[in-house]
Amino acid sequence: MSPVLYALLARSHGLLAALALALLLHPVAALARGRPAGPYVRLTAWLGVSLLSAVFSLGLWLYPSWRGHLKPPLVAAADPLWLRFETKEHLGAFAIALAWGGAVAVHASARAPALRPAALTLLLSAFTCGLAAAAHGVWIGAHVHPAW
Amino acid sequence: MGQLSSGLRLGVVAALAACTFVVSYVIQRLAAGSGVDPQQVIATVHIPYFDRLRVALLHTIAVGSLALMGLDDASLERAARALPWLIGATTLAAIAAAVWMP
Repeated sequence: MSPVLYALLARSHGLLAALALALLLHPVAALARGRPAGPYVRLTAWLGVSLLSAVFSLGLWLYPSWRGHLKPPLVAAADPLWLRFETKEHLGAFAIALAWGGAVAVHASARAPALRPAALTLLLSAFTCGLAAAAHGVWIGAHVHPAW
Repeated sequence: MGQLSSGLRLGVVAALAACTFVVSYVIQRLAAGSGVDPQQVIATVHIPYFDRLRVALLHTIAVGSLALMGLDDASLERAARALPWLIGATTLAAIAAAVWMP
């Protein structure tokens, strides 16, 4: 992968992640206000988790290039930034799992209202992990540039 | 009643599966420990992150399948009440672990 393609995809990864988190905020806000999981709430939950899955897949595709080209100089320089990147990857994995659980729980809560608190907690947890991962990503992106 | 029960089952299983993924991932990372030489890490083609995701996914499928078949209606209702606390505690512990041991 060329540095330009990597930079392009990494920026797209960040922008799409922000959009996915914004989509997830709708079901979180609706459920937090005690509203039932209507069709639009379910739709934004599924759109959010679908987009988040695409973002996560893109991240998995980029990861070997990061590991092969950007991480070694950081490790050699004992720059703790590479450790923050690992934290970002952990948080991203948590976010995608919790978001899928949340989307299914929101969908199911339309038939079983007792699930609404669990669906809210799952989506809120996914949103929190996603936001923390995004903050790490912005910080890392500001310091590390592909120039191999 | 059948629809309610199947909806509850689907949601509880999904929530338990999501928690399983997170717990499995964290345990694998903690088990790998922090005593790894960074130079050794970047010198290998092997990517442990992908392995952790694969194993966590396998655990998720296993626990999800067991929960799907094994939980009766009374257990589902109890689980639905306890899930918000379980999910919250799991997420907070996982975030703490991710920061503590990157």
